[in-house]
Amino acid sequence: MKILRSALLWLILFSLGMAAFSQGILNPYQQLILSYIAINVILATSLNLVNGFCGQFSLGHAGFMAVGAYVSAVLSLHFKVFTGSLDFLNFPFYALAGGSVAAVAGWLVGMPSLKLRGDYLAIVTLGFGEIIRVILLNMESVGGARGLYGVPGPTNFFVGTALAFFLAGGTWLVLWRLTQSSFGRAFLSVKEDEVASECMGVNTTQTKVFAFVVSSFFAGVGGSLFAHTTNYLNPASFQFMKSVDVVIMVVLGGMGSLTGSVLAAIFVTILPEALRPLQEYTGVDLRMVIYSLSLILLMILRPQGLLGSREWNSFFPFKKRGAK
Amino acid sequence: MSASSLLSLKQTSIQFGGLKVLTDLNMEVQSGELVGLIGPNGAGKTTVFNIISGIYAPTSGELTFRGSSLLGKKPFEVSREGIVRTFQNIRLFSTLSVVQNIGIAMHKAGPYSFWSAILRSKKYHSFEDQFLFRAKELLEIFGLSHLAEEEAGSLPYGIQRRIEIIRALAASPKLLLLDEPAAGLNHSETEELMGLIQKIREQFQLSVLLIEHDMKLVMGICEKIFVLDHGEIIASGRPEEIQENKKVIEAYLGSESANV
Ligand SMILES: Nc1ncnc2c1ncn2[C@@H]1O[C@H](COP(=O)(O)OP(=O)(O)O)[C@@H](O)[C@H]1O
Ligand SMILES: [Mg+2]
Repeated sequence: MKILRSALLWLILFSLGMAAFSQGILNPYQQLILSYIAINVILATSLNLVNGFCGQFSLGHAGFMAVGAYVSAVLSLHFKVFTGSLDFLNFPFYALAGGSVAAVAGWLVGMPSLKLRGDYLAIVTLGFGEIIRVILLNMESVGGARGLYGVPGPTNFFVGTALAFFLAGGTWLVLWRLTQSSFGRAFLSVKEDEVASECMGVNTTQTKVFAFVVSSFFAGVGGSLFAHTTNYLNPASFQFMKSVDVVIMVVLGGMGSLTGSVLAAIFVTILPEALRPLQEYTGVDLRMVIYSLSLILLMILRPQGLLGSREWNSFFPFKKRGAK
Repeated sequence: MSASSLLSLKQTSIQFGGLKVLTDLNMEVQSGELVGLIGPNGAGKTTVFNIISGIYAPTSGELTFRGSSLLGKKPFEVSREGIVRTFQNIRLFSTLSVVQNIGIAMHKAGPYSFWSAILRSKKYHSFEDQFLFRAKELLEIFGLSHLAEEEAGSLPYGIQRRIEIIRALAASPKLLLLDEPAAGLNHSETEELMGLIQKIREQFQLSVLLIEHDMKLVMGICEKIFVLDHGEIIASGRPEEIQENKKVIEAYLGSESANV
């Protein structure tokens, strides 16, 4: 049946399944963690597109996340497209808007800096992240340093988790299909050897900017989900260390492995929470110590990250498409 | 310029800082020709390729392909015009599979749109099938079908050289630039490769410009040879003419690389 092959259908079923699961079994705190996982999956997989697949080094994911978060938060505070029982449709719309503005920002940042090879992108994105944060800090209309209160969340948690997983699943789906296409091969060629790539007819600048814009879009979507999950935004949430956190997830999971990024996002989100009882028991906060130690250990044992550049399907003996 | 002139360099020069690497080069490749570019190490042969493929801009002079100038064109544009090269120090995408390497050469401006990729449209499927079919076809010609899924960088040197040529062919060149394709190969591999080059040239109706510093080798298959020494063309003509040219013999004896 054709409908069973529709990815959108599976995506909706998956989101509803996750929501039902979380509603039925998990307490509100655990449900919140689940939403954070969804946010981190979006951030890590999208950054992997640039840092892992294209071999560029962006350090500004928190900046694009902030753009998406604030744009969607302001929209949702002042502007409703759907009302009544369709109210929940507003959130995907805000996410789309937040992502789009972040994508434009990504284009403006990426266009000049990706023309050049080397570490310019790292420096420019680092600067961009800080500039965005300082602008937000001084923008009284969005609360400045006090932050932006009262961002509406989804009215019931069923819709909340379902939306979180709809967005995370949708991000995964788009990035997966993109990386499994001719564009994905082009991304990898840029990482492997930019000169050879150009000589084979790939417009490497355009390819990098394209990946960067897509990546920024999803960072914005992640930010939007963040805004509506926490219901409160503060520029301090988008500091440089937030970008570093996402880089850590990408490196940990494996550069160029979306599957790895998902696993790492889950791991990095859950670990500090799982260690919370330990802190209550000992009375000292050892969480960061253990967290850091486990990261160091992992990098020593598996410097290529959890999965290297392998994806989930390489662990199953599927027949390759086209192989007879 | 004759009607069949494919590539021409006129008074083309390049210098890096104060260093003149190529001086007033005049070269011409006709449609369908197999042309050799020889010369001792450091003569500037690879630099000629770097200029033709748009990696370096010449300091002065002309560079035209099929009647229009290539000056100012980026490497990917030159490649899409139909000039595709290999590299002296193999530059395969080494952690990717052989098939992926071939696929990248077929990407060009994107064979389908972003939305086609995301929605897995008909266009997406038809190109992906077509690409695998073409990869298989090319690999078969070179007798390498069994290596399609292997990691390119893990393969033996001689095979990597051939895969680099396959990758270049996948980009549908009109003019193929081969930079020392026989370097590092043993005698029988070299013989085989030269046979292959002649074969693909017939089959794909290519023109080939081939760099080699082993003079004997090019003599056998090229119709025309340019000899480069210290950045200048010191001789050009048919192999027999080159063989007897005094300057050429001197250049080669002087560099101790004659008949390597
Ligand atoms: N980018 C560059 N900057 C400075 N010198 C260069 C550059 N590229 C090539 N050269 C010089 O040009 C000369 C010719 O190099 P090359 O074209 O690689 O020679 P060949 O391929 O004939 O062995 C060498 O002396 C090399 O050092
Ligand atoms: Mg050379």
